[in-house]
Amino acid sequence: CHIHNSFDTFRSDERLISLHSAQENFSRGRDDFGAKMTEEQLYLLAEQNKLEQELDESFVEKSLHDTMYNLLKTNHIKRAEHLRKQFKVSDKRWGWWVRITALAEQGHFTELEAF
Amino acid sequence: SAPYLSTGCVNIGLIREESRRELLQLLDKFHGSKALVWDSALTEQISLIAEYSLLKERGVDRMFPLRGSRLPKSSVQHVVFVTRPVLALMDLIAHNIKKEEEGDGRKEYHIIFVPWKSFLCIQKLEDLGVFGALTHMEEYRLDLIALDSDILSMENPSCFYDVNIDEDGTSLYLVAKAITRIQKQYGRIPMLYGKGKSCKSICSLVQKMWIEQGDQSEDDHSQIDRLLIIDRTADLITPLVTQLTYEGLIDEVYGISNTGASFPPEKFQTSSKSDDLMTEKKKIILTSKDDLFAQLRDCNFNAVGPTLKKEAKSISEKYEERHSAKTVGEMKQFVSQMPQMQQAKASLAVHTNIAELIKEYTDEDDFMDSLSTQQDFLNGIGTDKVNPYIENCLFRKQPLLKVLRLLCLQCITNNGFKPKVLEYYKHEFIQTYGYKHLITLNKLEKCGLIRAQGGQWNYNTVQKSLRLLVEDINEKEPQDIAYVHSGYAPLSIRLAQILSHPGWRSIDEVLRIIPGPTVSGIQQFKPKKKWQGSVSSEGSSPSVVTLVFFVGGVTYAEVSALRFLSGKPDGNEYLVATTNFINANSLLKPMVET
Repeated sequence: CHIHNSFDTFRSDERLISLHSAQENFSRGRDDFGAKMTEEQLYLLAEQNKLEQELDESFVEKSLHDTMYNLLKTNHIKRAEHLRKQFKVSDKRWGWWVRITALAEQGHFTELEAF
Repeated sequence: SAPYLSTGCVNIGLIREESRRELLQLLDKFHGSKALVWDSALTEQISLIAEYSLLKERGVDRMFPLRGSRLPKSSVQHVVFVTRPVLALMDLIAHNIKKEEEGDGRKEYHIIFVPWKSFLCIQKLEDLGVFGALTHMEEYRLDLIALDSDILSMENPSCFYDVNIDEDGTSLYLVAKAITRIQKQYGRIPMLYGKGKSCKSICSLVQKMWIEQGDQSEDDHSQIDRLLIIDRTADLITPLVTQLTYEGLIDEVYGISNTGASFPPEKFQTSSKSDDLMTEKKKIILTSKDDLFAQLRDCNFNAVGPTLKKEAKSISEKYEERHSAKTVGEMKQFVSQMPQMQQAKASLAVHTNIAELIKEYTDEDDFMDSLSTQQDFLNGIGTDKVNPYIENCLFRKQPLLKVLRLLCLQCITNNGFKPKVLEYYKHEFIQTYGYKHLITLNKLEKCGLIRAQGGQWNYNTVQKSLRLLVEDINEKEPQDIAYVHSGYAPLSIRLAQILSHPGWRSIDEVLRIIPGPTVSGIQQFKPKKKWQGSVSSEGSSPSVVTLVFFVGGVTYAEVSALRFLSGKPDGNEYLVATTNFINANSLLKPMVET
């Protein structure tokens, strides 16, 4: 599993190809964790592309945390719930995010920034 | 010049003088007027060796930073590029030369490589088609810079990463070179000790270099009795624990480089010119040249306030003396002391401001929470489970380096994570910070900062046998080196302390648990005869001088702990040499994927 460089591409189609090859290499190198993470990343990318088309906002460079954070802040709770299920987000983590939603609903944006 | 460098047990100023001489010799090769074009990473370093006024005397008319743009116009005969052997910089140099040749082609071009001439760089210059335009290519072996009367640094920030991640041993070769240079200056060091990955190979390189050098007579009496090499990988705990000394905290919060640190300007605004706001950061030089800083630097931060108060009192008392001055002679004496007093007052103001800034930082909840989590880990509390505070930081997306620091400390104090805990942390880390940090985590695993359980390392045994945890620390009048972290004694410095007394044989078992080989041997059987290069303490028996060389970086708190040991009346003195200074942030940052 030496092919870590393949994460560095920026064009989306190239990125997909290199992610797939990374995943292959991880499996070949018996790095289960790496393979699993790459699978998640591929899935996240697909979801983010969908979101970009639907919401006219950029998501692709973001981590799962940032993606969820953005969705909750802009009140797209259903979409966030969907990701939560797909990525088996722990209840503890979700608990923190729900607080974000609550803050956003009440319009406490200064507190949000400090979060 | 820098007389404060010569006040230690060994005259460190000699190293600076030699570097100075070498630099001037190099510059004298180019007769006539010169412009120096600087790799910006080197300017501060070289200013510690030679001031601009000195360079001017040697015909340096202009100085420019090395950039991609065209050089400013000048009528000098020589353009001298002073650069590290970094390929990317060769592009800039070639561009500069080409642009300059388009103008008038009357100039001569030279390169001075610091600290060594690289074949690859020369190859690159050939490829870029400017090799022929260069008259001289020199090498300036700046392998050690004297930062203070007891500190030599190679100022090589990438050593730990190069050796442990890139597996590039160049830095180790340079370390051996540096030790050889020290031996040339102060005599062959009779006893060699070392702990950690690289110490064995460095020792054998040092011995080889001594033989190759040949002409040295063996009966050269050394001013240094012992060399102790500590590879950073032998003690990765210490840099992860927050430094609580004055200088250490300045480094943690603002970062010190080449003896200077930059502070937010607002604090240092003088009321007289308050209308034009300072926007540039305030740069302050921190060395023992400043008497007050020399007193403060090694103090636990809790002792800084009282020291500042005492100083303020003594200054105002001195000012009061003017009332008691009656005769003309007394008045004259008072006036002659004015400049010193004014300087002391200015220094007091500076350090009061810095201390206030640091206080604001240490009073924050996040700082206190992080500190108490570290204390828990050091005490072995809850290290085997997922830590709620770290989890909470991950969920709130706290600064990545802060989280990593705690993660690594928990890992090392737990002798590695259980597989489940490790996977959980890694997964949550990636969910928060992004997929690319899979690479970050891999690098941390590669150098052993994060790992699964297994191996011979046992924190609990090491901590107990070396007494790393000390209760009831008196921060104002410390009795033990553990004061530098308010209760944790740096492992590395305990090793140095035990080496001096009662010797490493007493901790054989522990040395086997600490990662990396142990070196303990005699290099040369020669009775040491002492002549002091600097101020000698007459009457007292000569002290035993140990040079501790940190490979992969030293923290300011560690240096303070060694100074504390030097200050004890048991006849042991310590000198520090290091590849560079580090703290948790600078250790971990290079591994973070950007």
